[in-house]
Amino acid sequence: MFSRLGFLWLVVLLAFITALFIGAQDYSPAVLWQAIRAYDPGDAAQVILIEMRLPRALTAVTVGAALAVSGLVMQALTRNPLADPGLTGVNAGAALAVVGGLWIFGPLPRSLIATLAITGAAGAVVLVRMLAGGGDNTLRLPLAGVAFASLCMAIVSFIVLLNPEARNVYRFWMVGSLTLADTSALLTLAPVVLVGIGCALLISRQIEALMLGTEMGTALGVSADRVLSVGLLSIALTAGASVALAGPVSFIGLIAPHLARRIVPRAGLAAQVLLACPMGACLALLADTAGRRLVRPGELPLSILLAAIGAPIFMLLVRRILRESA
Amino acid sequence: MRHFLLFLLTLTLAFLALSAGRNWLSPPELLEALLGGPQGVGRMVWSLRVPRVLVGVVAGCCFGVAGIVFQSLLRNPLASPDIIGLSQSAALGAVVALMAGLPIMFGAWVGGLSAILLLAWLAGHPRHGIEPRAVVLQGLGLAILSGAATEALILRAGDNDAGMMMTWLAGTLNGAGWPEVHDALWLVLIMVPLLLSGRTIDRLELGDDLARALGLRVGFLRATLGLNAALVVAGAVALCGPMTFVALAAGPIARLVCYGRPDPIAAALAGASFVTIADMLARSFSSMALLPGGLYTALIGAPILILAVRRQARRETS
Repeated sequence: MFSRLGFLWLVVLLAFITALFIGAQDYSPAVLWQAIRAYDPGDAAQVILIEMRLPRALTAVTVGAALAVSGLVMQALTRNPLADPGLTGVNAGAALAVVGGLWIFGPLPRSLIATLAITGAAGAVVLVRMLAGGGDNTLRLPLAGVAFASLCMAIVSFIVLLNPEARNVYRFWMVGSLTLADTSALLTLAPVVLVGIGCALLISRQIEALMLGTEMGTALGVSADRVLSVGLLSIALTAGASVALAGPVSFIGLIAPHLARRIVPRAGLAAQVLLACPMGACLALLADTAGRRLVRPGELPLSILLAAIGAPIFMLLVRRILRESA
Repeated sequence: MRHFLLFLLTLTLAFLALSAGRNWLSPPELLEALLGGPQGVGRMVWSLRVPRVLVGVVAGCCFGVAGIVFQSLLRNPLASPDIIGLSQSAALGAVVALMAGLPIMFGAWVGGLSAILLLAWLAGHPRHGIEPRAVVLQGLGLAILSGAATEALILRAGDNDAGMMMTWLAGTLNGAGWPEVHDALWLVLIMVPLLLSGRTIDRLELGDDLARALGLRVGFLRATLGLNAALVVAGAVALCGPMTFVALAAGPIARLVCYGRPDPIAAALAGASFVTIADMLARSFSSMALLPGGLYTALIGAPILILAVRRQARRETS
């Protein structure tokens, strides 16, 4: 397990370095070496590498890991393999909270934006869970999520279309992309993501006990309410932080946990959380790099590339799940 | 009787829509303009508002009737064409056609038909046939896929085209004129079998075995009704873009009016009223005149969708 974890982080490192070199303009490794040894603010190539691409790649790692953990916890808590912060409307709820807050109060400091996003995510989790109801929610959870997400995004586009200046800033953030990535936001939100991942690790054993059934879990001495609230906190922190950084991005939360489960089919939830992190980071890095490389000098937003990869995977998963249940 | 009342409602709304706009017309003024022929105010009404309202009514009918047919065939009050990806695929086809210089209607039809064939193939099971639940779930994926492809295409388009296409993608009647009315008339013809299918889909809802016992050719009917509805909805998308939630909201409204029976005519009229109201709202707020009507349908329709989910969840868990 630890060798696989190390290998995955090695892949992330490779993807990270690739992301630094490739973009609207490709650079050679020599530029990076120079920038590390003696950073020269006069050299355009070094400035682009260090000031623009480095924060962006770091943001991609953070967002990817956050979304992967948030999807994993959601799948475990709802017992639904199709749960994902994008598909269940949690990202859209967070985006609505951010845009609504900016509209009502005007420009806000980073920390308040992050708080808004996290609150919105938490509210969305609770609402969608209520909408989907209990019992077998394989179909109802994504449907309720799509409904909720489209309502939120309709209001978001309403607000954004009413404010032309907001439209230009948020056009790419709204669909989910890393164009607004910068160091100060990352420094505020990376600790939040770490706390969220920590929460997930903390309750992984209890969630496993609850997955045996609520009664069985209670018999094992696990308080269902406490686990649910810590789990909710974990989802809200990770999903909210990722929305504050990159807007609503779907499918990482769906794909990364499934890949992690593939690699360690028999491992516990904690191991899956640890593996899902590099998996999500890798996905985000690759999708962002590809998006910048494919349509130079413009770029395809992260979310569009992820949808192009993720939607077919979602469809394959659905096929397998329905075959198994039939 | 109920149909007549709904028809009256649609007609009233249409006349209201004719008098609504940046300068409101009083009923006598409107009558005078309509009868007076193409001079002065009459010219504005005949060349701008009449075609716009007509296209809106026909597109609304298309969305409504296709919505209830799919909801009934898939036995799910949420399985409307905009949830299962048909509208999005039709829009993708339309955008591709627009960029390639082909007729938009053709592109939308190709997109819509290939989407429904793809869904049938994906959701098909060698032994159990096509499972409604699978269609809905696969459709959710297809909607996202087509939406992403369309957005990617739009980002590659020039800034001018991109703004226009973004408005169109939210659903708008801007730019609807007499040529579009001509297209809309064809859609009315294609829609007729669906409008008359009320008894058939009602019986199909009884379940395959009972429907077969009543003498229906279940497989054949499903396939033809599905293809026909896909054609209709794709045509409506070509006319005014994928107005979200019209198809979805029309079905539950029609069932409410008709005591739970799936009634295509009531759904069509409900859809027409819905689009007319949304377009009126979009045009009347002059400061927001650039907002597409589809935003209003989403804002009104999404709560209806959420109520429908809630009711379904309650029914299934109780």
